[in-house]
Amino acid sequence: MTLALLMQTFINGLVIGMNYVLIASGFTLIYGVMRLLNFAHGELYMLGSLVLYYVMTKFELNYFASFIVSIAVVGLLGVLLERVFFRPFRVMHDVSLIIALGLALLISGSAFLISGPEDKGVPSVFTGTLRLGSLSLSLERLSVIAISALITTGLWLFLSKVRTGMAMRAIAQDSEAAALQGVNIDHISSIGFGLSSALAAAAGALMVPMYYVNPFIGATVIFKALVVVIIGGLGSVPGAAVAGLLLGMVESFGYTFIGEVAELLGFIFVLVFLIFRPRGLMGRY
Amino acid sequence: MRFKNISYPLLFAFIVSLPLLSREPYYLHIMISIFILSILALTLRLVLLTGLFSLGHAAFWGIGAYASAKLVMGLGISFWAALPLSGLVTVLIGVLIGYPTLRIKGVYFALITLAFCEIVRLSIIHWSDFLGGLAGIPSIPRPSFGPIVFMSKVPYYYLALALVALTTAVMWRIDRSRTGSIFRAIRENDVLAESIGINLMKYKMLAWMIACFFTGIAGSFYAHYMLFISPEYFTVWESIFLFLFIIIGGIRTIFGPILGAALFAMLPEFLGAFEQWEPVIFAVLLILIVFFLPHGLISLPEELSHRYARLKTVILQRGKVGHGSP
Repeated sequence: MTLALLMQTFINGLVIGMNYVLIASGFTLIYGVMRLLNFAHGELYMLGSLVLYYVMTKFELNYFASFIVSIAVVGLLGVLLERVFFRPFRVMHDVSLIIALGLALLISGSAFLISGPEDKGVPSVFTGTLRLGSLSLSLERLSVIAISALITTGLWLFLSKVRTGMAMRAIAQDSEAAALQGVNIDHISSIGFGLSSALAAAAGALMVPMYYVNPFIGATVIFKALVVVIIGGLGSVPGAAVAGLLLGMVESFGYTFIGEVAELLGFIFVLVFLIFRPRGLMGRY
Repeated sequence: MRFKNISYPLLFAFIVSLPLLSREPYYLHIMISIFILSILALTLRLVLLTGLFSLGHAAFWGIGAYASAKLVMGLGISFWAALPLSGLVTVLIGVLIGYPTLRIKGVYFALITLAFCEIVRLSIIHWSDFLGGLAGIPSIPRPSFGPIVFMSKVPYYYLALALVALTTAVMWRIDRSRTGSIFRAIRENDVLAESIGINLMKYKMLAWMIACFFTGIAGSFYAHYMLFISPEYFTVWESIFLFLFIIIGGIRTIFGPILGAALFAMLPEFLGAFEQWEPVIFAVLLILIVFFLPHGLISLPEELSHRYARLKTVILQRGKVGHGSP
């Protein structure tokens, strides 16, 4: 067990973990604001990846411009989805879940029809490695970690310092009280959904140079998001952050050192968590 | 004579005599699929009707299938004994998972069922010596009556028909009984139900056990019909599709889930070459139902007749207002 192996596993854990943080933050945000388990979240991640791919290959923009386009497009789509599909049923939580499931199928099915089942990828953005003594760390991975951390920090600032962000937290705590305080629930829900979608898209877009994208990756993503928010606590963004990193690390070390059975053990752990502490680490709702 | 009085017996006669009219295995296979999916749909409906949001139902189907395969192949038990035994095994596992979890409500329960479904799938894959792993269990023996082995689809057809008829009859009786009302009461408002003395856990467990039993039996049939089972047949996505199809069909009545099951079985066939459109069409249908026909497709005649009645009233009213009173 060399230092190099440990370091690589750790870096991988950070990459996966930060990705989960981005995905889960958006997911848990929607739960807080709308009490909805947005099953379409994974598909929005997939769309983020797919849009990035298409913008980079068809319009030949560079990675960063494509990244911006991707999160803008998917974010706007999120706003649209909330207006058309979720707003009419906002109080009916069970129905909203069914709609989310339907949208997930619609999005992945359409993506399949439009872009085909093959894996698609884009070339690495930051090639090369960083040398630290005897270790060589991929710059690609480091940059993904850095950008994810930046976005997460931005989200944290938004939720704690910006009025709209604070409004979202208020709605999550008690939507009636928030409305009485003058918060426009309609408005904030739309923005929240848009923000959540943009976060999912960002997570997806960041992963494209390192992995691939096909219309089916959404299913796995939604699973991971569920596990992270269960452990972190539904509705809690800091919880999602902690649990996301935790899961990333556990997965990385688990797969490297334990192998296949790690996945099964993981789900058993989640089940036990759900039975004995459904609130998760930091959840309140 | 009312439409219903003629059409139901006719439909029944048609279903019963289908294998005599056509030996075409393809049609028989579709009908058998509809029967089995109907059992799953009816049992899931029972669970949902009690307010238990279950998104992992396919796991019990799988448990029944695997139990039956192992009982027959490992212990040499006859299929006819394995059939109810698989139901019991499924109930046992259902009780084990239900005991700590049925008290949990709403969305958290749904998440638990999802996790459980995945755990079942992963356990099958991991326990590959005993349960075949990803490769599944091949060459499952066909049911036999002494020297008569179920070689063509016809005996399977009648067995499946008998099973779904039994399940439907049981569900029908439950719906009309006090127990059924209690289930619905728990779904409507469990706190209120408890306050009038209903033991929530007892009734939830009862619904759960009944559902598990029939699902297990359906699984057993499935194993000895398909002759091959693999964990990929019993995933969370199957559970979710099952759930969504019964929403499309409608949960209020017995026939809604059956309609949903029929659609689930037949949609791929209708689409034929356009198979890849299936998720999109399914999703659009689901969304349209949720928006416009929340009680499911089965309620379409009812909704249309309501709208027609309202329209008639409006037209008549307009007529009166426009021309002044005599």
